[in-house]
Amino acid sequence: MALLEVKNLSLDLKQGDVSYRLVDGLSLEINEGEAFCLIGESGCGKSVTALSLTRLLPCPPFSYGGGEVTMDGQDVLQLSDEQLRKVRGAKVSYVFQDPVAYLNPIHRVGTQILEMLQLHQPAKATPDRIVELLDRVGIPSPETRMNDYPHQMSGGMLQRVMIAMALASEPQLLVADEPTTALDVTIQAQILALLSRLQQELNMAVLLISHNLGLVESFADRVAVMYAGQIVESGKTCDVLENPKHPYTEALLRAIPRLGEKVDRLCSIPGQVPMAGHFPLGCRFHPRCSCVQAECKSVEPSLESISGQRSLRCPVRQAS
Amino acid sequence: MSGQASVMSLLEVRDLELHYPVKSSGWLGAARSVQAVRGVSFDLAAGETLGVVGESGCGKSSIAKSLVLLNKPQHGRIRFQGKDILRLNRAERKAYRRSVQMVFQDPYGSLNPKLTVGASIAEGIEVHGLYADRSEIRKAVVELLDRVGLPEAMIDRYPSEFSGGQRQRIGIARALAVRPELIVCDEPVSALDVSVQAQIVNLLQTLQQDSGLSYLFITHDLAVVEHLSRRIIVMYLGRIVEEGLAQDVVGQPKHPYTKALVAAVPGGSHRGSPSEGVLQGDVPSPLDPPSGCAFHQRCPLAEDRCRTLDPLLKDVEDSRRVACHLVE
Repeated sequence: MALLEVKNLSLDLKQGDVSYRLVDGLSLEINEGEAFCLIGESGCGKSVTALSLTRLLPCPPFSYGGGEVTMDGQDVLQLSDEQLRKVRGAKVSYVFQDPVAYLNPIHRVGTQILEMLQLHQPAKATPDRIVELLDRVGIPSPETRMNDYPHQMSGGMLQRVMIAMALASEPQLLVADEPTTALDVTIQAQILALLSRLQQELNMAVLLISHNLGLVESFADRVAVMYAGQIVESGKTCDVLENPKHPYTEALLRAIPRLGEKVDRLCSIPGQVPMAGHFPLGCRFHPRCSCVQAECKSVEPSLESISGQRSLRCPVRQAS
Repeated sequence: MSGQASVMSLLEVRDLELHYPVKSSGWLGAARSVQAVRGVSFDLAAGETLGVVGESGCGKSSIAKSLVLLNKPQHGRIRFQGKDILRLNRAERKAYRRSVQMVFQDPYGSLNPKLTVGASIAEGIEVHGLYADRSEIRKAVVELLDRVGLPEAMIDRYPSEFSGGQRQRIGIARALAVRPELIVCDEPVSALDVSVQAQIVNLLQTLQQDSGLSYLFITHDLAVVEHLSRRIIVMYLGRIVEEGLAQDVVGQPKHPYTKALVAAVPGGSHRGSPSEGVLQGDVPSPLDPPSGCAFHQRCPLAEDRCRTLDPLLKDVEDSRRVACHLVE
């Protein structure tokens, strides 16, 4: 059985009298110890999806428009606050984009990790365990660095501390939301390699959320591509990247310049990413699509399983 | 490159040094300074795109600011069309500011929210008195909007009504408005979504082909810079560590740092699992750069001399310069 099963999840945001559907009928499964990647551009709903896995979004203004989020056999959307507390942190931990914003500037990093241990693993709330965690995420001389304040560390180091904090509760699923976006290229590679190593060593499932298709290639077993609140394509990473079926995935891959592959012009996708509340009728990608047909403008396509683990939301490509 | 008498150069930077004073800790603490740029020299030919790559703190944005006279270097020379821009009089400075424009990284922070798009774009035209009457200015603005791919109807709207990619187009139109010869682009696509990034990159290329603009293109994204530039300089901690033609630098990097940068690009030409061996440690603080080669602490090949002797930027091949003791 899958560790995490999201079925038909819909999420709305109410602003004034208007309600926008941010996520529309999203389904995904993550198995134990699996590295899964959710890809999409800004505003596609990937981050709110991540937060709704443990109901971290404030309701209101957000509201769940239906669906199920089953984590380790429990439906998260039905849990009481008391029960939720045992899922947050303990079963699902998060690492976010900007570590500076999530660490308390007036407490030593060791103290902040200790807090996590006291909450979730009280038996292990010792300095030795803090050192072990910092060592595990590759912080040199952890015995002294645990006494540092956040401002004494670099961005890459802070992201490692965030990961150590997330690991403190020994979660089954680590959700990393754009964990490397704010970091320099060489540090980005370090953090990604670290996450990959931890996933394998601890047999921990990792959900990586990113806008960068390049990151996925070496990291995830499976990938899902989101556009305008919906998954448009999912499958094994190598299949999706080498043989993209959805016109959006294909265009996205071609829009990235690649090292050593000199092209005269990049293939850009015309138009803008639509905002929630302004999603086009029919297929949401149709105004920007290169192989648009008449029916795409009126009939909203559904996500269909096409082969093995592969799903696609595009009747035109599915037929061809 | 540096040795040649460069008659062709549009821009000539020599031995640029830029330090920022830092408030010392405590009133007895010694005054310190961030050594942002430490002896940088390069040339840029007319109509060419020169890419500047490096991680945060390498001094790339400081160079950009010096070029548009937003900061004053402590040492060195910047010549534009043969004229030293650090010793211009008022009128010359104004003319220079017309010739060299800048496009910034953050399309949200670089436009005045209280000015309509039309007024923002027209600002430069008015300051430099390019057109006398209002209808001509408006006509010019409409034409600029068209060149950057925005409809005329947008002219009376405010920046808040636009997406990031559209704002970056407005920023580019603003820079183009005064008909510059060089545009300094400081991470112009880093804040944009992938699908929009490609649009802006293509737009910059089209504009260059149409009007022979030169670009100094600053970014941390090696793939973007390889795509756009003829030549690349790679910076580390205030110094140039490697310079050469784009395909050479990326295809056969010589400096260990450039090699690491190329290897760190996710989904690059190399495939396979990410390795932690890419590059250990962090960029050292520019407050206190290491002795010898600035990269020696992170360099897998460092030898004794690297720790004490600062390598010079040497010509290794035709139009290729590398600052490394181990590259002959």
